[in-house]
Amino acid sequence: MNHKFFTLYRFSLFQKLRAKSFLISTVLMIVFLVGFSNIERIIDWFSGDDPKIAVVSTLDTNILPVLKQVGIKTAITEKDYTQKQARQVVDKGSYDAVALLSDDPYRVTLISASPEQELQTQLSTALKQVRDQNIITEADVDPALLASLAEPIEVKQELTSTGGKNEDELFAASALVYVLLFLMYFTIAIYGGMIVTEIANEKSSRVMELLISAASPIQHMLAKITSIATVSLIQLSLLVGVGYYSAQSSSLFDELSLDSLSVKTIAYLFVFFLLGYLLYATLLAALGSLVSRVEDAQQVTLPVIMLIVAAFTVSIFSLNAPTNQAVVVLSFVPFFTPMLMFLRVMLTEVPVWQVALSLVLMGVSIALALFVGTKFYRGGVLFYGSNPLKQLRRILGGRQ
Amino acid sequence: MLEIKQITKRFGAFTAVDELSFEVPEGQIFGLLGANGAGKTTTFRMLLGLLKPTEGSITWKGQPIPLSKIGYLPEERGLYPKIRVDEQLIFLAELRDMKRKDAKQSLQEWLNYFQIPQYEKMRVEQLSKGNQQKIQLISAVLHKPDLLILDEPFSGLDPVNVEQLKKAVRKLTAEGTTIVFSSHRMDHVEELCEHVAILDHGKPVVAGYLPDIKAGYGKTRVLLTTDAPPLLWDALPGILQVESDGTGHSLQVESKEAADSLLRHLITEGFRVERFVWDQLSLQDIFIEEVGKRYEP
Repeated sequence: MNHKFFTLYRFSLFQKLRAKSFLISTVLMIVFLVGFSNIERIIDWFSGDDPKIAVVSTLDTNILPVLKQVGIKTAITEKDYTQKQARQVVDKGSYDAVALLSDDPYRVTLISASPEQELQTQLSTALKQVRDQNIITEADVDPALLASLAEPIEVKQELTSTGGKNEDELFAASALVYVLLFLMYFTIAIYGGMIVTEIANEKSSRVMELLISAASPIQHMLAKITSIATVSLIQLSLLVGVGYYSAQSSSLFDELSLDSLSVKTIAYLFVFFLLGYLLYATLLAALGSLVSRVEDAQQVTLPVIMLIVAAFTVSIFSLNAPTNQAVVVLSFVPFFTPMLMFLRVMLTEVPVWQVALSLVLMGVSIALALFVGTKFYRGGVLFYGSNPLKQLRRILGGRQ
Repeated sequence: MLEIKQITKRFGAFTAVDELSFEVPEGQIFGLLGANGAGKTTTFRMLLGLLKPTEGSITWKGQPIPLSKIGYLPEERGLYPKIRVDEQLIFLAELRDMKRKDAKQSLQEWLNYFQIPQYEKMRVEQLSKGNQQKIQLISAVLHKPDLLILDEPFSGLDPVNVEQLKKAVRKLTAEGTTIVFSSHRMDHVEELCEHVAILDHGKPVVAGYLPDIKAGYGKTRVLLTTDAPPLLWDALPGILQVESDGTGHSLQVESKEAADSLLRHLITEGFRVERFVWDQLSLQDIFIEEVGKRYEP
């Protein structure tokens, strides 16, 4: 038993890992991931040098330090252009933008070739600061009084259902859970589909008859499911590793609170992903055994794919309401457990018995799926017809 | 000894194999014949353990057949088209409990036997049909099975490849392998098998030792070349059927005595007899007799 399972497993795994399609897709995904997490740098790199800005100021105050203070990073030159000259230098390209500032009334005229949204805001803020300062000075208000007026009032929030997470932490955790849920959904759909393709391929090349006359259908089915699970784990760890590394060196993922990616999170992710994969993969393998050609695979796997999509959709909506009663109930339904229970555990405080119960229910349904699946598989793999539903009826009628 | 006792396989209301029994002594070749849909492949699948007989038993040396001791060449050829010959053959042998090292050595021997060692590292889809068929046969025998099942091993092959495969089959029996095979080609069966069974709609209509079967048919065949037109003798008692072509006539006669009296008649009437061959019915004749007549309107 073990020897045959291992032979099947090793062959399937080895062929998959060595396939060009696997190498290419892995490299592409890594390139995409690195590219995506460094998108800001890539855009900067293409947009070339920093914009050149000139300022024409008729203010009493020296405006340059204020501009720096509001966050304009590029060097600014003070010039003495008229409005007409300013237009000319922008047209010629000597400067990307020229800002004319006056204090009677306080006003900014910004001359640039393209709209400079950020610069507009920064200039407006800077000039407002100058104006406010002047008003305060003229009114002779005590600076300390002013400072105390400007002091914001702090709201200290405590959320009772989230295990002590405050709102910011909750938001960050939701963002992380969103990414991980997507990863789970995507992986189960992709690798589940891979199982169906593999089985249909072995059937259409008729090698299946040789395989199951040497080993039992259940060994073959389990070897298929586990070898592709191994492939997915290898590919995922590569992706997560590269993704984590490049996200850390990029500001794009600051919101994700990657630091909260604790051992506990990874353990839950691993357990729920694996159980979800096993359940869906078993169903897909059983249904995949009914088709004789890859082209027919979609019609039998669609119901399962719909279930995966439904689970993902529900879990996305639940991100905002993880304590909703419907979410709690659904998190015990095996097809939804991997995503919904994971989400609940990550965002709220879930009693241990609930997690344990959901895991037991998952285990039972996987065992059930395996039992029913092997019945399907035994009858399905030798069947070569164009109508999978007919075959399904034959198996259910006990005629195979 | 492979013993098949009264096996029956039903799929719902449909009976694919009906009370089939036969025995194959070790080291012999058994031919299973039948028209398309007669139940040959279903029988093979039961031998392989892919299907369970509804009734009856199949034993090898008195025990259930161990999977690692069977070799199988399916009717629909099946190998991975995109995987190298050596990789998949060694994998299939390992799956039948052969050690990797032994499988490699056995593979070398067989590739050399067919004089195709250059295909070892090629993908199956790169090979011609005849060579794919040789690889398929190697996949069935690589692990040195005691019992070999060949489902239509010669179909779709040119005469040179057929001869090569026949030679390999004889080599295997000489080494002690027991073979069960099916074919539509009666001449191949007649040439290779000592024991045969003819299946029709799942029922064995003829079964046993081939010379006995032939002898059991009282009818014989006469090949005749003469200048006497058939009109003058084809109504003689005991002559059942006459087929004529440019080289002469092929007759089915009721008995050896009927053949003798035909020859006497021709000679006493003064006709010239250039050829008179008395022969047993061929397997082809028996097959058509037993199976073909059921399809006649």
